[in-house]
Amino acid sequence: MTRKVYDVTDLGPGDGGKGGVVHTVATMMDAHTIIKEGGAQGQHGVCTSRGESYAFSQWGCGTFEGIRTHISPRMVISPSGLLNEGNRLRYEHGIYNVFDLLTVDCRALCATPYHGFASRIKEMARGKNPRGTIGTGVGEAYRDMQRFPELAIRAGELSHPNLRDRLAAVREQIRRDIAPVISGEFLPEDRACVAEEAELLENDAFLDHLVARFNLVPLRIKIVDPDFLGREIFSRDGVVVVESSHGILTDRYHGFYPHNSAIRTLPCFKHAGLREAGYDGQIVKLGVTRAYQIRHGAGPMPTDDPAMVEKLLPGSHKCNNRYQGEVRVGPLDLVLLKYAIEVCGGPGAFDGLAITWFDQIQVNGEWHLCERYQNASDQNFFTPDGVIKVRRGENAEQLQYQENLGRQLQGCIPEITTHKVKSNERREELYSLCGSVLKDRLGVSVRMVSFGPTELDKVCK
Amino acid sequence: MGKEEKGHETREAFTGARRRFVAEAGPATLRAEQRVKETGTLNPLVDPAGYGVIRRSLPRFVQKKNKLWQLAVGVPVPIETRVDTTGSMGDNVDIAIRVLPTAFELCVKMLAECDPQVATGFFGDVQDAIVLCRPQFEMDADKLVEQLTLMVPIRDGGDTDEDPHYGLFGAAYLTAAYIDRIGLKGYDFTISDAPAHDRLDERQLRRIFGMEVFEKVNENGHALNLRDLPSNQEIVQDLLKRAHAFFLQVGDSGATTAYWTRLFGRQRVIVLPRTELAPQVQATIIGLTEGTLALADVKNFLRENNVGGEEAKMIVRSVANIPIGAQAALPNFQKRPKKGDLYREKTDAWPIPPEEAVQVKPEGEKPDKSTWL
Repeated sequence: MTRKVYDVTDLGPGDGGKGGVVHTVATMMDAHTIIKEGGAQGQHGVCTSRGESYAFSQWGCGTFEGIRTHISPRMVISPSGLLNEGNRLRYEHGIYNVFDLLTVDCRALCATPYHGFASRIKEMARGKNPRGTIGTGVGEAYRDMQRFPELAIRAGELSHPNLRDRLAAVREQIRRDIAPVISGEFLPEDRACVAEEAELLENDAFLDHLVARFNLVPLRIKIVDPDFLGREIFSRDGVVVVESSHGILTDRYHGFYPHNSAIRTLPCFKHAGLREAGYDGQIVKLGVTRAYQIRHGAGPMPTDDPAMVEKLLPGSHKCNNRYQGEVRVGPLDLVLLKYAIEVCGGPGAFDGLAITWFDQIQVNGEWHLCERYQNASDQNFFTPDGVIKVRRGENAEQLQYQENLGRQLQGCIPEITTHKVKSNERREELYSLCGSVLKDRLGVSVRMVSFGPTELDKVCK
Repeated sequence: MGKEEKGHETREAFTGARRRFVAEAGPATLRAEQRVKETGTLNPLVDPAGYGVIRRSLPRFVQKKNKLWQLAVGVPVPIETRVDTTGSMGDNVDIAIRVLPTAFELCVKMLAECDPQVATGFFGDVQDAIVLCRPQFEMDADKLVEQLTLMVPIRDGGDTDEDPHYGLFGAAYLTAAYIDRIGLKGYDFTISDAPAHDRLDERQLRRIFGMEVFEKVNENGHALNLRDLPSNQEIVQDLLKRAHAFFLQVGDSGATTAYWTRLFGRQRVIVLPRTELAPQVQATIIGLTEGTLALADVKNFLRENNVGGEEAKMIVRSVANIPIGAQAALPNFQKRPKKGDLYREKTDAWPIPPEEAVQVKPEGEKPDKSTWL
């Protein structure tokens, strides 16, 4: 029987460094399986001490070690992306059995390229006022599944004889949805791209191509029944790691609408899924954050400091792109971190924190932290101590509240404190500094600090 | 299902794959040819610029409980073949699909205890939309058949000089094979009935292999001077450093023989009576080079494998002068890793001595996992 599940949760808006943390935990604990949650748009970077390096999307971050991946029913998959990623891992990284290392729950929702077109065209229609999206269509697929459940395509239906009709129906709905958007105004630099994507929406040969690609998925990858997780995975001895995309600050109802995800990112939803599958063992809950603040794309970020980009991002795989927009960095925002922890249930909801990219802090010689904001005085949103209040809800009012909270945050001015960090300081001492500062401010113990890209650069205590 | 105990695909697996990927009517490549007409692009699996440009032949490992990596099948031996599809050779893709089970079966027979990894591609002319289809090295029946159906044969054009040297360029400089790291060689075959043009064009190289082709060549450990690109002769010489390479000549054109003999030498230009017999001829060459087939047994081997008497005689005469035993004569041949050998890391060149296999890997700075969370 599986004796322990490690659940790794990004406490920011994503990009916290989950890939390296999941890889380290899975390697160190000899995990037999990684369960993937969230969406196919994630890019979790892993560098191994052997010199391998890759940003995983739908395969788990233990794949280089031969650890299996199971895609849960709460993951939105990209069928074409599965084929592409599997081929890359097989042919560029020599993992010959990569398709055998993956199982997909038959209930996993499929994002189609049509959802991607819709996502990107809508984002381009926003012109200079972006929402921020990765543009893969994961959110669109999720929202459409809620609006038109009969149109949703599940992994278990990829070999269904009527798949072409199903995809055509998805296409038709998306055509109707974006018709008024397409007839609107676009930035001159986006027009060619909009025209190209709109043309593919009409192209029947492209539809046939998609059907052929989707049909190929069940030939390559094992699509499994809902009982598989309990029957085949939790019945195995050892350890499982849960790896999810997104972060708490992009949760559907606790992120800052409209700069949020369509899906729920809180650990409680993952844990409910584990319990539903019959797992009643220990769940070790690990929160992840970079040692500095990062946000890729639009959305509130009070500590955003463009002057720090050059100091904090060298060596990172993060880069700007049309749909997600700019990568922004700044001092680590403890106010937002406390908010994220509180959203998940408070400090008791975590057994430990993993702090990534501390090597960059060491290189810079200074660790900047935001402990409070100026202008955080509206008591609808902040306590008298300047802590962000957590409102619970799952409706339109909640989204309105979160949008207003986001606006409040955009008016906040961070107060920054700085800790000097010696470049020649030993990792032990740096670990102690990091651990004592964050335990004091957040109430959660630091259990892993990353001083470099590989698993051997992670100090765990 | 579909695999022998050793991990090699069976004939039934190829039959199943063919049923899944090849349409009953029309050429097997119909869908791929339509795609190229519509989009101008090849599927990345067979596009020379696809999946990182460099073609890799790597060991199949499984990780053991003691964290060591076990060789699942044997030493991977890459076998790359590029077939002319211009003019009279336009049906060669369909022929390749038809003879694939035989080709694979005979390779497995000749490469005892090894892991044959096959990449059969096709070439045309630089005037064509598609100059080269270069697939990935594969050992899986489904994927081998699928890749062949993604090819786009040229079919048009005459039987004058062709452009196979771009494929030779890829084989020489854009292949990363484990077998090279242990001082042995893979196999490379060019099949055509015509001579080649004699000059590489930088723009064509970028068109075929992508804009980063020279960075990829460099990444793969080769230094090329852009102002002085290698001649065909130099490419072949470089290819011979990492592969037992041969030209298999279809037809009896004297100009063709003369051209390729200048490049490969007389001993590496071999008669191929018909493209359909490529598996038998290639297996013969591999067997003789590996020392798993004696020259005296070639005729019987060919006759047993459905080669007619006259054709068998032609082949026997032609292969009599190849470098027989060239692989077996390489210093590390007897030290080849075997199925079941254990490696400390999957990136290592050599397995660890059996007496070390019981030791657990050092844990670096990792904490005691019994105390961490």
